Amino acid sequence: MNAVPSTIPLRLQMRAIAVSFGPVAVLHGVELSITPGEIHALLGENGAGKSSLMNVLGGVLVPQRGSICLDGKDVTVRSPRDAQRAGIAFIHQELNLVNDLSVWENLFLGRELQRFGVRRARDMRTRSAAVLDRLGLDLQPDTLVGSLDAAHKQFVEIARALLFDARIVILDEPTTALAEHEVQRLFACMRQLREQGVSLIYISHKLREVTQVCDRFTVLRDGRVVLTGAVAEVDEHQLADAMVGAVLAARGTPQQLPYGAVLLQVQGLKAPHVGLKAGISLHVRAHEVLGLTGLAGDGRAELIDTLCGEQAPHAGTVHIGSHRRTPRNPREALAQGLGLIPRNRKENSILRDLSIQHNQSISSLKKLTTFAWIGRRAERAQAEAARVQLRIKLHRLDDPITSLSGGNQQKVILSKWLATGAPVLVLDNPTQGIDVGAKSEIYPLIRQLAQQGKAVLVSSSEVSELQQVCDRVLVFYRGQIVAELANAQINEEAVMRCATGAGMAGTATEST
Amino acid sequence: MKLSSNKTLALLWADYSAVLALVAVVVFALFASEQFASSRNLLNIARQVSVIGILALGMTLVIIVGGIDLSVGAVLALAGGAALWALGVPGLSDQPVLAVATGLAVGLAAGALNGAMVTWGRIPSFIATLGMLAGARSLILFIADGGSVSNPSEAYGAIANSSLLGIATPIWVFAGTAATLHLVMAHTVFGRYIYAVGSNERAARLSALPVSRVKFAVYTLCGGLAALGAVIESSRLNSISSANSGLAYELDAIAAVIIGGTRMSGGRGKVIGTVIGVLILGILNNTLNLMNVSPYLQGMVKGLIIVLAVLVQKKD
Repeated sequence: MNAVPSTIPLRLQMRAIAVSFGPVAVLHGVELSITPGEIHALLGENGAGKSSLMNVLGGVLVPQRGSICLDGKDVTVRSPRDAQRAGIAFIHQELNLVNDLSVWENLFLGRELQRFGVRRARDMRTRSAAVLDRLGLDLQPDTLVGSLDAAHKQFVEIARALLFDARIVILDEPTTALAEHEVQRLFACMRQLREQGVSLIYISHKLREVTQVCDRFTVLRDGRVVLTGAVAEVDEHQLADAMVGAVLAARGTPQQLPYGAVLLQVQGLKAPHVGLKAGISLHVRAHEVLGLTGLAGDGRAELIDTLCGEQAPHAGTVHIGSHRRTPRNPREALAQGLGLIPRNRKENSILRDLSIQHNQSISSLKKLTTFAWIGRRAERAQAEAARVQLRIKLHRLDDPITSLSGGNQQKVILSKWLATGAPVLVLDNPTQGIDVGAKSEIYPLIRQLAQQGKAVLVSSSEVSELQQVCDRVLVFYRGQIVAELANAQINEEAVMRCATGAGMAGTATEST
Repeated sequence: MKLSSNKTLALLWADYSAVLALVAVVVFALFASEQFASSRNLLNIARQVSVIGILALGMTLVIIVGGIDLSVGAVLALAGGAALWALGVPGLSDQPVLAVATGLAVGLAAGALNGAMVTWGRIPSFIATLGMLAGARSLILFIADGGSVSNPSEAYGAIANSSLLGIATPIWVFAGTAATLHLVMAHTVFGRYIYAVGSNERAARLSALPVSRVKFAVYTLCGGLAALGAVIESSRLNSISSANSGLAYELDAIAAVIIGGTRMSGGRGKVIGTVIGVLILGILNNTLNLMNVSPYLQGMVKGLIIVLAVLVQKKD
């Protein structure tokens, strides 16, 4: 391990941290060292163990093994309260602020200064102003938090951490909801903190941001530290390679068949009540994988709801195959040949009281029945074939679907839609919450579907994912398509520039 | 590994706790009363529970699909009244088939209205069927002017008072309905869809299932089964009391379904469990009668059993 020069006393030292959930180990003896006044990037793909490691530090998770040493003293962190007392502040992606209260009230929320049960408003205001000043912010303590933009809300969270003398501030993907200029303000604020000797742990997928603001980095993969060192000594590609590991090596331009007929055609689609104000047009051809990406809340989810008929469009058309009628519900969409693998597997896909086999067959029962009577053997054979084809790891097909891991559940859902024979497949966040191994199995599968002649639409926020499976990517920004990137142009930087609205000029929107 | 074997045990328990409860109740009854085991008494129990049983079967499907039907008792009174009224039409008194058809039509219509309110009207089933309960009861009270609807038709009376192979017709009807619904739930697309919708309605819709049609059909069927119960109830005495017939039957039906292991929030449950639940309630009533326990106290025993049943099933 690339050690920190021994002359500098360490702010934080996490040693041999091991965490497992039942038989599944998520952290295998992870080491992390951080000096005072340092911005440390914690990198890794989803499921690499970043969140688990930070949850250990934040007292949310108690590790099976390992120790935490803070400013030279061993500490036990068994609850978020312990963490707070030790000076560790964890700023989550979802902010914990009350919109209807002022900035200073939020800063002191739950820890109000009081005398004889009466809160000392003036003292709290003064101290709030001092902290905001320390961060170099022009924020008034009396401003209502609800009136602040996303970046300033982040600042309030950070200020709250400072107010209670946090020595370590953990920022979990703080820039996902921020526009570019807001990101720069956040960075300025982070640097200000660094000057004052506070250590920051910065979790992000965005490598460009890491190289901009961080001093050192640690890359986790599959619950192990694979690389650590100074940011100045590496470039983005090295970091990306370390994060993705073997999967990246397997990448490369997939063998490309000539595209076939247009199987999904969307024209001038508008649904202003859910934020799709500009008309959206796109098409997907047979043998093609089209990616959709952007930031959270950019309108992709709403677009997909409209494609499958779950949401009625205000204007525009969705044509599937040779059908000329916009589907009015998911049932009609499937009848026309569109299958949807929805986001949020647990809420939208899983029938948790049904067995694996019954989940697998639920959308294709018509093919397995004679006079409404389900053919046991036909159903079993279909599920068994799916198990073999998708390499689904299971004990028995009659076990409940909830007995499977997330990745295997998603494979069952995928096979359920394959069984319908739908020529158009829409995958909304298909690798959400599944581990790296399962992901690397699902990517080639998506490619394979395209090779078989299906038209595939994949919506994802992970650029590395789209790089591996897509022929083209459309980037969304505030309810409209701002850019189309072809195969070679798909990269983190280009996507981020477009997705934050920075790349709007000079890029062509698709017109068909 | 320990975790999974515990899970298996919990599943086994969920599947068979109703059977164990039935065994316990039977053993209790055997010790409590000598008359219990006589074949006459046993057939008597079966006949007594058949009407509630048929109602409970419909209720099972409604609860599995994620709803509740509070109107079955009131719909029973209305449909039974309608059947007897049809017999009173001049020239139709010897046409029991027409009377049965009238009763069933009224029940199916009431069920369809429930289904329409719940699916397309998006009214919570508790409220929609509560409205139907009040409406149907009020309608039959108005028609009968608060009294009874009766018609001494011999042919119609034969429905409930006849027997086949020494077993009363109502028992055959209950058993036949139970067997049919068991097959529907276990082997047909409709049955599978009911479980899917009850388990996760949103996922079922996104899986391209005809969710509204399934729910509509289930409520309609439940109304139809309430009417089937009504035919038996009304033909036994050739009379329906507009104020008392079917009163609070929905509670017994729901109790039987829950005791039978069906989950209140839907998605899980078995027809056979409901049959067991109905038998448990019937045997308890019978035994308490044989033991000369005051009928006023029997409600408390029933209440205790329901709460106990849910208590042991809680770990799912």
